[in-house]
Amino acid sequence: MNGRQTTSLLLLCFVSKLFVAASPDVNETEEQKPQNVYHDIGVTRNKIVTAQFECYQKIMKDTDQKRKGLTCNRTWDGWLCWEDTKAGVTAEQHCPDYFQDFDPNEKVTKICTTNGHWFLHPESNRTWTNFTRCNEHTNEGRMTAMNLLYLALIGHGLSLTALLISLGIFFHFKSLSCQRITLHKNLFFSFVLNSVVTIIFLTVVANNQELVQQNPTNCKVLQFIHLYLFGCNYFWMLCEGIYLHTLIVVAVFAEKQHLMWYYLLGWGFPMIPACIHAIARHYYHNDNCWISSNTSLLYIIHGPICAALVVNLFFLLNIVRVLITKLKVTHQAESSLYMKAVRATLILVPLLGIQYVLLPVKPRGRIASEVYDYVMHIIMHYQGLLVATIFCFFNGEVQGVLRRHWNQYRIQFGSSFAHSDTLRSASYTASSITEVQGCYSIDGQMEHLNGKGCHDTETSMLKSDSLFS
Amino acid sequence: MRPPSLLSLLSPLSPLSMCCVALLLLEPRLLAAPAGSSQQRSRSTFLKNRNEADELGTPLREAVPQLQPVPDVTLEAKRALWRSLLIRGPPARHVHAVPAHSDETLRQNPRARRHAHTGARGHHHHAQLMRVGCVLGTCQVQNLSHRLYQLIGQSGREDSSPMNPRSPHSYG
Repeated sequence: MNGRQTTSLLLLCFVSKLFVAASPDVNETEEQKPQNVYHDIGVTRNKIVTAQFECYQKIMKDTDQKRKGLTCNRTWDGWLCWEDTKAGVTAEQHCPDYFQDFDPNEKVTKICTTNGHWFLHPESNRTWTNFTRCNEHTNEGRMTAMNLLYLALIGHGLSLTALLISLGIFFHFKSLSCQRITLHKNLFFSFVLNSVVTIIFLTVVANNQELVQQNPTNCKVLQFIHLYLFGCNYFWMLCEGIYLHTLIVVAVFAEKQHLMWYYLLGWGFPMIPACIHAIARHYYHNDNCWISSNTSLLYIIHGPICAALVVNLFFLLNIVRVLITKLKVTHQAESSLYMKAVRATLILVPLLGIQYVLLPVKPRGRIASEVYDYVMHIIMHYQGLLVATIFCFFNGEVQGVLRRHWNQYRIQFGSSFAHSDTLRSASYTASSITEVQGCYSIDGQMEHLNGKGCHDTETSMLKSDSLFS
Repeated sequence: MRPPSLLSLLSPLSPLSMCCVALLLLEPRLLAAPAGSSQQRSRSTFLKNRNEADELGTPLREAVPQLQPVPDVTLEAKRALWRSLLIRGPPARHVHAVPAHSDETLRQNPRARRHAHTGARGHHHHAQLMRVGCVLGTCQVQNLSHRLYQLIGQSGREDSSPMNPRSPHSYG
């Protein structure tokens, strides 16, 4: 008996090996097709069978529960499981994800009529669940998701380029370094890390069903890092807010601030919600790769972020208030005063992340939420680009340093007309710095608002730079 | 004609026992790796054991409305058997479609989200709390990745449902 079993087993192994060995010889297309069909039937059917099994488990487990009043009996409708439902109530749940064209965000409804029976379709006179919304807008939803993905990838790509160039400039030209630029460097660095991780997460994890279904620990670690760096990004915005507020409102003539606390807040603090989220997720909502956003546990991450942004809004308002009062003292014309205030506000909004507070919550309607999605994604993914542009490329000091180096470079390679050109561009530099710093005066450079001050900085920078380089 | 359901297939004893064995074998895999390739293989053997492989094209239809109003002896026996099975190996964690189930929520059917005036409010509230997504503006990246996961490139599923949901003969 035993021997026979072994031989049959061996035979089976041999046959299967033979099949495996033979399969590469088969025509590629012929091989591919039946495998796919088999696979397709597998996943969908497995999901349905599993759901059905669970449903019957549930149905049999709860039989001794007391029923009050008229109810529709719990049932398995072929796709979904329905609980006992009171008469006259419409039960509702999310669409199943059995098929490609079913959108799990949509709802399925099943009506329990007033006489305690499930709704019968008038045409077929059979119980009928309303699955119609499941595949109504799936294609549009898929299109939107793809558009948003491309938008995100392009945005983060552009942001990364701009931020890396900015960081290069900040690190290369040491004459620029001061506390404000140090904070900018950290903020930019958090933007860079966030962009890198977001790109990786969107392309490698979210778009890769196989990986998510295998559910390796790495992807949970990646999600943890992603959420941590996401938090860091916003907390560095808070740091910028606190720094500016302290500089302008609290202590105008203060000595250098201790950056230690900023580092702790910017890089250290976001670790706390990220860890709490990871632990809570592990115990209460341990889905594959922690990819689901259908959980309130995400508020552990986003709650502190929103609190930080609200604080930043308060800082912004206060800064603008102080700016207006200071500008009023200098007896400027009303219109230019308000123009400056508006410019300062517009410049500070992306730095402090105020846009998220102004559009805090997603609206409910389909079209409204789609528009909101597009707007928020553009704002979010292009913020790095915007910040790098405003605070590096449009920054007067940076422009001045770059021009000076460009001119030095030209002088070195001694073209005949270099001298006169340098002179002209130097004066241009000074005026442009004045202009840019006019709108950037909130940056603690108020004493350099006039042209002379600018020239002074320029010359001092020249000296220090020649010392460094 | 309605195809035979899972329960009515189980009435002869031998397929039932095979099915149970298959399910028990399946459970640890369910716990460990939801919908992995190895699990798919074991599932497919499970299906074959139930002599159902030939009916794969036809959908599984409801069985409970026909079974529940007439509680007969065989049904009770089946229930006892199922219950004994459940005590030995209930799926504590599920495939990714239903991620957030503690044992408590399992009892309460976390899938159903009813209108506010239905019963069992405390537990129901709990289930709903775990279901609500993130609506804040900063959650967009998480929402997008979840959306991509739901809609794009989920490999292996059938392209569309075999039955148009608009049809009066659709599921119910």
